Amino acid sequence: MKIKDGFVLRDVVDEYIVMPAGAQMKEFEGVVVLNESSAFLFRKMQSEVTIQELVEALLAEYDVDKDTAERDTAELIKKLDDYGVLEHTE
Amino acid sequence: MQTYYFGKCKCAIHTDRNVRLPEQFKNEQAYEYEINVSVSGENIIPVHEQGISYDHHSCIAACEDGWLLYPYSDREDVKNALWISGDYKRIVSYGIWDEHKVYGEKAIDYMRVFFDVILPINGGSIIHSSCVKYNDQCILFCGPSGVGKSTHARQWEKRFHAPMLSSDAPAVFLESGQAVAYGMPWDGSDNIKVQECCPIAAVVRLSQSSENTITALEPSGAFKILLKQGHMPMWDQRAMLKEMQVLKKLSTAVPFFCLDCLPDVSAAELVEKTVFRGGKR
Repeated sequence: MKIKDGFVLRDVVDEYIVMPAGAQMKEFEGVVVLNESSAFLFRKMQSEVTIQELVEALLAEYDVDKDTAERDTAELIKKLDDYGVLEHTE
Repeated sequence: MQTYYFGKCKCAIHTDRNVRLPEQFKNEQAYEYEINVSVSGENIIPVHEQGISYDHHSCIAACEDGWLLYPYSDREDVKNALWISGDYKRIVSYGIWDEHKVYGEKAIDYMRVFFDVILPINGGSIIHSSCVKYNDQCILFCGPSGVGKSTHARQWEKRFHAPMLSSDAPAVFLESGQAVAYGMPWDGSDNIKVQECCPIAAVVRLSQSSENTITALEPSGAFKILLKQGHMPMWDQRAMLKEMQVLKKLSTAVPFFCLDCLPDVSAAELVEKTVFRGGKR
């Protein structure tokens, strides 16, 4: 999976915000607010990545257990899917 | 030339035709930026690409050195448009607009949309809210359309003789860390157009309920609410980023509350007690 082209992450005074850019501005209404660890995962997702790789990256970067890392990753993927920000490949 | 002052702006309209903003905005005030509006008289609109739908009433298209704004209903055949320069300092009205109305009335209505970018670029924001003046301060009541913002604001008028500064869309600026609301020449159906400004005592998000309860909100929650209530200029990423910076500052500069409420004076009394008297009677 990866973030669709045309979405950018901006740091607005310690808030992480996903904004549409270019052609996506015609389709996307609003913005998505992320916390710091979700922003970390978002950056990883700007290239093709698997769920397993995201969980491992979270475990390496933050002091969390595997269950928490898996749950947080799944929640972020659902959130980004709900907003139509992600594209999934086979 | 007619000159108007509102939301820290000096707006000069150069025209020999009947294009005007409300008279009460002609009183000279301090300003921090200038906008020059002119009427081209041209019916040839420089549309090069199809615009994006902005607010269900209008479309925005990028064009040479700026942006074009035109009515959504005209999207297949653009007869009237407003152009704004890329530096947001000049506006030109093209076309004849509505020949059944006084020329310019509709053009002036549409010009409101440009202030969704002009304000953030100049450090402010339009907040979708009703704003009530009370005790030399004001309160912004926000929430989704239909929740009862202006209904609640009218309860303040009834109970505390507190007039509205805006029923739908005040401008907000941060001035030395203090948030200040400004009445603007555009408003919703209540048509409140006053050339005044007032420090903001609180922002209150309304929800309908069968009883009144009020809770304080942390800045991070307040910021998420403001992202929905700000007029986000989705068509311009630079202005959008500026808008979010203003909203973030606002979320920390002003106390925020969530009010679940009935549509009557008891809700206004609860807010007045909480905001102005620290919850004490």
